[in-house]
Amino acid sequence: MRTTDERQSTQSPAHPGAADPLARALTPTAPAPGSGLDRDERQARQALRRQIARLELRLAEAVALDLSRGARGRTVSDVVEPERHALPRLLGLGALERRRDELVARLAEVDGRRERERENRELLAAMYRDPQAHRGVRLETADLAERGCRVYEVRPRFGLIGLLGGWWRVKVSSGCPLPRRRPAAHPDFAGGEARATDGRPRGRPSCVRGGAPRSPGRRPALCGAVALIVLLH
Amino acid sequence: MTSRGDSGEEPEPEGAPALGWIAADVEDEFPELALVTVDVPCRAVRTAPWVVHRLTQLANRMTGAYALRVRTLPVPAAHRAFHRQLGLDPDVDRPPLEEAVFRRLWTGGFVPAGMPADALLIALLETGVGVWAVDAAHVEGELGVRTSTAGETLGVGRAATALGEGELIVADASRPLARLLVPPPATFAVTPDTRRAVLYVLQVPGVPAMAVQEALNTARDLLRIA
Repeated sequence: MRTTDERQSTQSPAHPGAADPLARALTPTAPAPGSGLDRDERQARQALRRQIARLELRLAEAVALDLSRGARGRTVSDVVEPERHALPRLLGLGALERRRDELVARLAEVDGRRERERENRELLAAMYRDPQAHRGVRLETADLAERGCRVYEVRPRFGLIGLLGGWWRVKVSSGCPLPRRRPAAHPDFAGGEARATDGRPRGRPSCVRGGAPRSPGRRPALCGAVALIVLLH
Repeated sequence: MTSRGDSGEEPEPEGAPALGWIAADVEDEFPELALVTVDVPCRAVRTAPWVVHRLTQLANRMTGAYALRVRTLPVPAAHRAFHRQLGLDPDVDRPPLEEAVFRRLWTGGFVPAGMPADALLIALLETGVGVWAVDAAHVEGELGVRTSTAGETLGVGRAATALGEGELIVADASRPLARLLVPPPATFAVTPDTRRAVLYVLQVPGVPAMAVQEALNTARDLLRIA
């Protein structure tokens, strides 16, 4: 097998502009007007392709690392709809620049997500150190780039007693909710498990507790009572 | 090189690997791009049990962890970069190996599809380089890579689909045979009537020649033995 280095480019006989390589080599070619500009543009395109290759590798490594650690990854909405099943073609300077800028934006997005996850991990440590200063703060494993469905939430001990006494603690949920059959008429489950009812991207595991839905009037009544007690306190 | 079956058929000659042509405008943009082809005897037959066993073993190696890190391996990474450079999103139009791994996770294994498809799949899984086959009876002249012109179609008759102008295609001397990085349409694919096939591999920038050779050799050996 010949190697790539030994390759000599030829053209298809049927392809427009096809010519015998020998004849083409022997034909004197006068420098066309603007050939310097063409050369510069070609070099610019080559440079952009090199940048795209480097950025793509960095992005692939970052995404693979984050996904292996349990990060949320790319959601469905991140996929740009107009690019679905695009056609392979030789891109011009402008299109290559757009691809390069998209990759830079994706990398910035990954860096931003990592930064938020780092801040959330620090926040979790602070929640454990001083729960009272972080009342009601809630973090999910997806916010921390961890696996599983745990939820860390600062809640009062013994309900009202802890609330009145200022006894706060970080409560860790017991993991992913078990699959349960819910009434089909329940609005949260009307579209099946893939439906996002709380603005979350599809496919993200729901970390709220499973089980039967609460009665509609219970929570407002409880909240009202708690608010009254806090105000009096 | 022997022909298929245990009858006393004459051994069919196997062509030597050759480099296909690359159109000048494509080569200007991708000087490292190469198309390697080889003409081999090929018949569409049921996959041999030992090939199915090999597919099963390969499927067992394709775990979720492997699927996550496959994009960082050298050959798939080169394909991802090439996809980006051609305007494709590799998360949507996946490179060949990533598509195969995704399909394995989705279906739970590799379902035998007969020869030569399984031979090409094994070559892909073991090297990361996609190998495609077209019926040699449909090929006129050498294969190559070029951009499509206005009004060109892919396929024959009513099954033909229009090609966009400037789309990168694999073509022979007379007509387009396949879109780049995509299997050829059924019109040109290997059928039970096929006697010879042209295997072709696209060596994208960054992929070592050794991987390309290994992919072609794997496919050829499997087609010869199985």
